[in-house]
Amino acid sequence: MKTLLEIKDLKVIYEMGDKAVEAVSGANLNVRKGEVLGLVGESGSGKTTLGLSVIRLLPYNAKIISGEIVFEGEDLLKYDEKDMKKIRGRRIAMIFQDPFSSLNPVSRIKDHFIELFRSHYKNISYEEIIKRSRELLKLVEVPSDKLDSYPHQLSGGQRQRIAIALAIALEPDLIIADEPTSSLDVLVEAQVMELFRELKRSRDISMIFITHNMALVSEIADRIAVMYAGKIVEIADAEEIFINPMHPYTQALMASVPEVGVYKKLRAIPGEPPSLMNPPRGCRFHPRCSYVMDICRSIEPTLKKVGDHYVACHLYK
Amino acid sequence: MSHVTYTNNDQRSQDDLVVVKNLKVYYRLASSFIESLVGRESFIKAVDDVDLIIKSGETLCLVGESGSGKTTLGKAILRLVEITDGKIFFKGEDIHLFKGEKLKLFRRKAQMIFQDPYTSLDPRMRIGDQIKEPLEIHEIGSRDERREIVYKILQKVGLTPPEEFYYRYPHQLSGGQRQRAAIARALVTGPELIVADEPVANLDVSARAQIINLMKDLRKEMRLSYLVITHDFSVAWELCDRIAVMYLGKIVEEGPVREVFERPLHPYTQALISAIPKIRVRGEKFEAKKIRVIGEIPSSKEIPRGCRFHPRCLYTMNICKTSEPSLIEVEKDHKVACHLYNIR
Repeated sequence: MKTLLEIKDLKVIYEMGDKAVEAVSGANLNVRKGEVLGLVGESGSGKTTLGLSVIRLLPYNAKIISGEIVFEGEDLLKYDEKDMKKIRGRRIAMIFQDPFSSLNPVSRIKDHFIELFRSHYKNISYEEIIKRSRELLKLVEVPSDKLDSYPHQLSGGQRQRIAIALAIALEPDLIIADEPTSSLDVLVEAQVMELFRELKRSRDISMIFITHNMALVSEIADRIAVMYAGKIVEIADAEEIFINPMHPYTQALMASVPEVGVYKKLRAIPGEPPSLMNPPRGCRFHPRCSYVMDICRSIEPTLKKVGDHYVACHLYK
Repeated sequence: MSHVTYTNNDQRSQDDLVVVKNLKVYYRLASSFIESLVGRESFIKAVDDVDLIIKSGETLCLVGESGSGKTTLGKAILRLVEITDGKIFFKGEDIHLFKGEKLKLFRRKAQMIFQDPYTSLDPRMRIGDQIKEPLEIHEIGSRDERREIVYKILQKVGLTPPEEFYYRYPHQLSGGQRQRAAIARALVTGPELIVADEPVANLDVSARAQIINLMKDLRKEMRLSYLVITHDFSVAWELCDRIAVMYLGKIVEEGPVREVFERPLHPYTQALISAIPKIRVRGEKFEAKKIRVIGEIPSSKEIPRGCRFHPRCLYTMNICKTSEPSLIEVEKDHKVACHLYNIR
């Protein structure tokens, strides 16, 4: 499979007064054409920052201090804001967790489509936009009369479907979905996930699916990358990583997730995730790791290929 | 009828801690001047005729989608919302007859843990002082004893060393630690019933497992009964003995957790359980899930006639559109409110 996106040694910091917090510290990751890459981690692991870096929508106090984000052969970090505007929506689109805040409360649904189409196609007619919007609404199974509604008149599920319709409207090459179902109830979540799978089948979309939910990501991802404290600690095929998690953090995470129908002793990971202001020396997971060795306290492991996995851990030589 | 209790009319079994009878909680919607003149008012029927028993020492889970009325039911059991009709008994006594000291004692014995430990703790008060406050209100212990009690409870919920956590402010704690502090505050008065409203929903994966395990340990150690309100079935599976499924203000199914998960009877429960995401492993081809339900939950302003679930149900019969099924026991301890099981 061809590589669509390649992130090389990305470092992102947030400036807080005179201090800096390193949210992403040297991430290497690629997304292939037509694949769904699951990006898994807890809050503060840097997964959202990584996603926002790709589409360059980071908050004002964030800075990308090094690295490359190569998208179809071009380094996006060399683009200025004007170039990025042409990329956003048209070639890379984003779906956020909360569809209530990602839609404009004082605009009707059709105004969202009009704004999107007009900002990328100068000469498109109103009729054409409405025609295409109706087709998109049909695809995401929202009645087309909702084009005249305001966001607050729709249910949570419908709002997220509209957000998905907006994301796929211009047929982008890559969609970044950040916890797209976390604010939805279980039945609606299942319906939206089914929609994603359908889009994956019928449109061959490439996607970065960001979530903290292991079970959810296993239902859609082809490959999974696990993040901890700003670092990618493991990357492997989705079907493989759940059977044979290699990094102690991945293993601990799996043992700490309750699963309906599975009888197991729930083992919590001891302690708390580290503060990124002052991350531990050596491996960032070492204070919570049950296999900690001397080397873990001083030397930071790099992501290496071990079998079918990429894993950053001194246990594997 | 000044003092009706179950102990008198002999319906209460010894191990029922809470008995809810025909409970209704309606919220009145703001109506226009004209509407109020013609006496037409509209209500949200958050809880609509619910019977429920919480046994001593058990953990009962209320599950349901947002808007199903589960939080309102939980709050009603603690007498934190005005009820419209029905009765709630705590250890055989009607909680709405409690006054003065008796009410205070009830407040001490029945406590709540909220979803969001960021808003349920006072940001300007030290953790130790917040946990001590209920002791002062209920006049438990002397000044020095109170401090000892707080240290003990901090230790118990894993905020160690307690001498250090006593002086911290909420913003100096992680999400998981804050929820531990909130649990400590709920437990410090020695309650028998804890209503926990989405106790782990706002926490990260690793803190979630810690809090679930802590709640399990405390239940054993302090002989607690829990009513856990959750939308997350994996939490219900892990934490609870029995489960009650709510839909638009009604309980539609109730039974032992394993029984309900393995053999759900109500079409709504079946749909919910089939929708739970499961970890897929190698060799297991992902099968497109059949989401066996139509559309989304309607607003509780417009509750459908007959069975509330019938517009979304795949098995709707004529009777479902007109008559509301009642909750009946179809197998031992397993109850369902559905006409499919009503055919004799």
